Amino acid sequence: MRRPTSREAAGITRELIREIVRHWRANIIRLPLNQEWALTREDYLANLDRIIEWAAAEGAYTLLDLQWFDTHREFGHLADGQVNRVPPMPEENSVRLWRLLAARYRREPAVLFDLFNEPHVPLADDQAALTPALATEGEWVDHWHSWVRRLEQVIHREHGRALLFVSGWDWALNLRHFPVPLPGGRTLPNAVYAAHVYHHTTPGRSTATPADWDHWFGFPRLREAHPIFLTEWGGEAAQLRWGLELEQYLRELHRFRQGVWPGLAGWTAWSWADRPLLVERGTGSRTLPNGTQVTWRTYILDGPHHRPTEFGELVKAALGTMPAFPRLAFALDRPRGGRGRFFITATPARREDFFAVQGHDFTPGTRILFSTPGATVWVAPRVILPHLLLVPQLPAAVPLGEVLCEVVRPDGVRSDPIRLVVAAAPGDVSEIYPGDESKPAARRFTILFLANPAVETRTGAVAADPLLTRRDRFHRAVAEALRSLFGRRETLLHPYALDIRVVARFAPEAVVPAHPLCRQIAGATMEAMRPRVQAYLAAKGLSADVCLVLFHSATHRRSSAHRTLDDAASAGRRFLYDQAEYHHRRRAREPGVVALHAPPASVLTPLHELIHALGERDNGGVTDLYVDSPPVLFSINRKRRARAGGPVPRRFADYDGQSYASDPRRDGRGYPPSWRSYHPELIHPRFPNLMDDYYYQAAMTRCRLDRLTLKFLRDRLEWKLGR
Amino acid sequence: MMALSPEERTAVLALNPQARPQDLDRFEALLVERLEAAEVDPARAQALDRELKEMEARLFPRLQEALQQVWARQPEEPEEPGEPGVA
Repeated sequence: MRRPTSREAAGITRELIREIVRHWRANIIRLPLNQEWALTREDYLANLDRIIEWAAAEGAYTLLDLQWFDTHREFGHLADGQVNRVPPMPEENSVRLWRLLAARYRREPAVLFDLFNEPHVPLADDQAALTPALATEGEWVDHWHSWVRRLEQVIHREHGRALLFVSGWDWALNLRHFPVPLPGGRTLPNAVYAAHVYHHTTPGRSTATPADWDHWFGFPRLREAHPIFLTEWGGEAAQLRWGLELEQYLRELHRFRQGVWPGLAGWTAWSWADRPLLVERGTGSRTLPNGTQVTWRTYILDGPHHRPTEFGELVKAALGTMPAFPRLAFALDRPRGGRGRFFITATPARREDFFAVQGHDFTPGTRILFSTPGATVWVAPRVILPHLLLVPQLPAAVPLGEVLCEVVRPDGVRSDPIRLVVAAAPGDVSEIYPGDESKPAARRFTILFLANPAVETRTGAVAADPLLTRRDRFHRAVAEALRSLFGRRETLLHPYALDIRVVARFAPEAVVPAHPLCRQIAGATMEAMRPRVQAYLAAKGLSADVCLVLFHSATHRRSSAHRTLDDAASAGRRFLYDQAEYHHRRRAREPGVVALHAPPASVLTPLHELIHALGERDNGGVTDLYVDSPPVLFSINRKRRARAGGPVPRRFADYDGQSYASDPRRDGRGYPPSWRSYHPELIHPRFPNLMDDYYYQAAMTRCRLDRLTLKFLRDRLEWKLGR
Repeated sequence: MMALSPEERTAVLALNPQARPQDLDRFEALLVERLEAAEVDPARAQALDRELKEMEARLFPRLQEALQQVWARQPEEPEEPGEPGVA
């Protein structure tokens, strides 16, 4: 009979990887290694290859972790009397190990390198450690730093882009002695600093409170300059409250706040197989024909899935809502198995009006269930974003009065029900998504959809906009626009989806000269008039950073946009573009405006126009790339050569201290010989520029922004979101 | 403003045979320039309006008709071309 491989013995199967990545929704798997086996057994390496391949196929990184030297060496005893098999420092074979693995995985971007699990002072009874006798903690830390420098050189010589995880001192708890310095004041390249945190209350080593976490690993000096990562955290059922607080702390360090990334790149929880456990394990046993009793460790399953421990439930719920949701809905006062809450909120329910459900982890196929004691009505949202379900108009089939509303995902997961009172008539204004509710509404970044009351024709006459007689058309167009802004491949707005407030207004208006917000211009184009829009919003008690004015026309259907006019008196974030100084401002004097036809001409039109509107009149914006016209406004994404058809410069521009290359081939189509214009480098050759003529792309939904524009607009958005 | 779709371009050039593709490119470029000028230079925007109007009358007298023919064939909601979105 074939001997099970080390991988099989560890219970790692393709199904297990799928369970961890698909069901638990992890995107990084930390894999502890046995150094001796990796250096001596080809089958062990082949198993590593297989695990890495499976994880990568599911979309997850594998973090290779040097955990044990071998299965026999003991490094003293821990305080509870258990044998310690975790070595205190690397050894010469560790150099060989990382040289081997770095060379083996130099072309595998899904592999990350955790140099050494838990460096520490050898335990008092450690007879195996091959370390010098050092007197002070400072000497030990220097010794660990020298090992890190050596291992870094070995790995990066084989694999120049390898991302290294460097454990903190003292069993990986303490990052206060980092970053690892290099000669000349430099620091270790491509390094992430990693900490392990378990619940301790020992004086001088306490990890019980946020102040302790700030002290050991979350202090600003390191994380503001170098990414940090928690490579181990976990606990038993008695530590759930502590775990919940730590998880919230990690979430705060992971999310962009006030325009700044606090520096926590992520975490991996310990452990699937070892204590403290994330999943329940049991013991299997069998008596062989010769009478020998054989036992082995098993996993306990609930149907096809592994049963989480109580702490595992917390970790699983956290993975399911990271990084999108600002808070984890995990109710400790509920019975086990039902603590990870799938929690939703909703707009007021009014027939024929928008009905939006806010939450997290909505997946395609998610439906909304309305129920009363006598009836149930299923409604399929037209827009399904991870954080938002939108029904453009709540159907008349939904009963009036009090109903229970819940969300049901196709995998069977149901939300907590919420109680609503369904009204018969729609309102004028709907807050489709509230945005960052920690601030008053007036301070939140707001995108407003407005039904245009009237149009100024090319003859100067004022005519009612036919959209005002078609509420259904307005609602469907808003839904399409939201899908365009938050649900396409271009992820410009996605990281801020939870912070951006979205409001829509549809209200009857008299046709008076002050009311046309749009006017017809040449080329069958409609133009939004920014000062008029600003005055109209002020009169209605509304405000917005960007206002999309929806109109309908038989003759002028082409949409257009005007940039934001920032308030120069509000706080500014200075930036340099090719050595010239400009500013992003917190507030707008007049919003960016879009005249958007209902229905939009294409799935990308709302996003394309919003990108124009996000720019600022005098401090940089984004222009169309399908024309060669001379610049009127300062645009960051198009430049002109000295002569038509001349060589495209390699460097496009310097923005905020970073140099950006040009796109030498204009989306692969080539610049027309008569053109002087050229554009910034694409994010990837597969993703043509969203501001160019995307109709020529085989699949327009592939389009994205270029690198420079994406960075510029995100800086701008983050500055405004931070107000 | 977004570019004209290939169907729209074809229809405009078919109904306005006196115009060449490069005339349409020039018209589109002027339109983009006009939208930007409206933000900072009303006089220039007005001059561009006049130029566009003259160009429309001379080269694209049936532009609107051509576009309306294309729009009449389009569905009420935008289509999903190529691969589906990430939503």
